[in-house]
Amino acid sequence: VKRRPTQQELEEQLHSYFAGTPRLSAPPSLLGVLDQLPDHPAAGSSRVRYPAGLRLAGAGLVALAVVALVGLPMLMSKAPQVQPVGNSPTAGASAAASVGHPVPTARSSMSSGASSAQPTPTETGPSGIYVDYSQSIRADQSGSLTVSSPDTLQCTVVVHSGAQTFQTMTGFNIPARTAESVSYGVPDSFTGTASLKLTCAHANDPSRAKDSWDLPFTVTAGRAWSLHAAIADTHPADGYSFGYTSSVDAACTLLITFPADTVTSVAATSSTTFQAREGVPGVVANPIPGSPATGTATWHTTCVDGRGKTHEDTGTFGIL
Amino acid sequence: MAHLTAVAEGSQGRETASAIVADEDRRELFGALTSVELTPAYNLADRILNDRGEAEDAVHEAVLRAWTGFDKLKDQTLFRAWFTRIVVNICRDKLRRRKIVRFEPLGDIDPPAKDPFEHGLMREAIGRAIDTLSAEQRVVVVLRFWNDLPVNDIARIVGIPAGTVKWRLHAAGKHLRAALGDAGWEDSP
Repeated sequence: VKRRPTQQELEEQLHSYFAGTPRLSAPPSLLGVLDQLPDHPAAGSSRVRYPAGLRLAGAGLVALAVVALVGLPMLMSKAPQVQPVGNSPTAGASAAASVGHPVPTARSSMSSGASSAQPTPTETGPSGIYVDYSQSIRADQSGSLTVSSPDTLQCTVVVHSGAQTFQTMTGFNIPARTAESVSYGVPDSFTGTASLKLTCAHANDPSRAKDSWDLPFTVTAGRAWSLHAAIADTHPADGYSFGYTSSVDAACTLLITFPADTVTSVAATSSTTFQAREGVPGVVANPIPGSPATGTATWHTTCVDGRGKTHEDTGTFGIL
Repeated sequence: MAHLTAVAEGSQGRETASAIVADEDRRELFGALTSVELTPAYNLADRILNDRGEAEDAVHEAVLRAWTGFDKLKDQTLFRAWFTRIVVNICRDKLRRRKIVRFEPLGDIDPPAKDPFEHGLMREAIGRAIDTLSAEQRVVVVLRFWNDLPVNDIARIVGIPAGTVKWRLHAAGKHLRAALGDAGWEDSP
């Protein structure tokens, strides 16, 4: 019988639980963010309240404007490059977009491991659609694109390498002034430069004019999936335990196929789900469902990681 | 930080030059204060969100938010608590925004009495039960049992009265025990 801890024991178990969780080191992308802070936020008396990335840009721009006015040419080298822009739906957007200042949004400098992401500007397309976007790609080759806009947009996202399309996501709808994210990934085998093609239209625009942005990112190495599994205490009366360690976060299903029953000649199966966390050992407990069978059983895991990629692994164990 | 108060004096040119120097000082100070908090913050966010990618994003966002509001922090000795509060708030918002509540089956059949993974089973069950806590409960549980913070410190970080922290911890404990009960963990006779 599994004994439920008392309230006091539960507190000890919680201490024990958290004490047993692995201490993580801050990933390189977090260390890198300190090198990419926007300029002089104290000078930012900007009234713009949306979006966050834009507020930071506004702060930087005010600082730059002050510098330009008082004539410190030596500082002009810090001025951002001018980029072509279209109409901007908000004053804040216009300020940011007309100078083309890279906007360090929350995820603009995300990169980790062997993969990297590009800085992500705020842009207004030729059709006047304004977006503030940021993207990331992680070491497991999954990433996330976050988009916000003053207007309600309907967007699609295509993940491609130029020659090959990896993913297409339609129905990526962006409510006005709300940041929405979508996850994406590239295959394990892919290295090099890929892009997200973000195409958006105003939801209420009958002309359905669209703007597109190509957001490149670089993947130099992937992280191979692995699942280390072990079956213990396997006999029909007592059940089994399935211990595992996964190399990535994943939602998994464990299917066990037992040998055919000696009486019915029917093979039984047992299915259960578990959530694997990167590098954290876990246990799945389920009994063998009353089968008197002996012989070799098969376990099979199907795990779906954060980018929707399926991983499978299989093995056998004996029932005495 | 002395430069920050000296900016207002002198000519406009000197003001601007001082502002630039102050920005460099501010950046250096902020970097020094923040760099030591990144790993603890990342761990805290990971415990609250149970997702390393989201934790990374949360801390990233917290750094930018802290940088934006850095001048509002008058006492640098309070940086850790201030920054932690930003991280916690972002994590709590992320939990609330999750459209799909993670539902973990807790298992419904007893393991063998001498299961070599018995300790692991309890860990697994508690981990899954924690995932079913509300955002508010999860935040105080992580701060209490992961950060080992006393109730008053949790109250300051989360911005709620100490009594509310105690109530949320109590409710979380009740919820966790109920979840364990649902999973077949029984009280001793």
